[in-house]
Amino acid sequence: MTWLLIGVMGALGTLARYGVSGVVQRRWQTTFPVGTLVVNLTGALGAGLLLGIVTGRSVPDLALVAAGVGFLGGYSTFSTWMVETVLVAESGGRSGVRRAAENLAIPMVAGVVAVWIGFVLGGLV
Amino acid sequence: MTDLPRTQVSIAGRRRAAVAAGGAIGAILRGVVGEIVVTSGLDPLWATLFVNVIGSLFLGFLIAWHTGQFRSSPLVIPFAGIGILGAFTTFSLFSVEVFELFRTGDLLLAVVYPIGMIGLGLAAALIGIRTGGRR
Repeated sequence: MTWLLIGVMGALGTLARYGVSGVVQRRWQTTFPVGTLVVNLTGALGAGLLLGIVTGRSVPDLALVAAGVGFLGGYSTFSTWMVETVLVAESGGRSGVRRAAENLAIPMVAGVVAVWIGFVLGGLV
Repeated sequence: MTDLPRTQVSIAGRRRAAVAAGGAIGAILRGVVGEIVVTSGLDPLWATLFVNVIGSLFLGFLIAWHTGQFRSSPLVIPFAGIGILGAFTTFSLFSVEVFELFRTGDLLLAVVYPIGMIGLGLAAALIGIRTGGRR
């Protein structure tokens, strides 16, 4: 039952990532992987929100697994972030390396900040 | 919608189905790794490190390998790349873990863990791309 739930919610989260990153990437018209950035930051915000709601309260395990392990786990992605960073670095010279460094630092710092914001908001709910 | 060619609609639909099916598999596999790590008494951080580094290795390989294939299915990347490997790895849990390390005052690990994760993830992606692209 739990595994089925993780599978279904993981599928929904992955579909949401496919949709959101596609729309964002087309809107921005840039080679910078902004679609993955938007997906990962909104995913981190959602995870922080979940953490804030759960901390100090009793929330059913199944709901936590469905939202956290299933949906948000499927929605956010680490592998795409890493591969895109390497491809950006290889796209050309010093500006490629600089853009790759930006593509590492910005999501890393902003991801933790997004969790923090979500955590504070989740505690207010 | 009726003026769109039917084949075009069905290809987009098949892509979405492949993404969803892969996503379900990737999420379940990540759950299985987490379960194994926790039941063997290891810190859950090891599970996240494992899925993210292994997932980056395979995605790098897949992307580079697929670029050189002219006759492979257009559903390979949606299913295995965006679906399985995208869902197998996680950014949200990783960010939550780093935040929790800071919040609980484990400052050394809060700095070492993300640097180690990103360093190994990048190296894995690079190795995957290099091995997948070699003809």
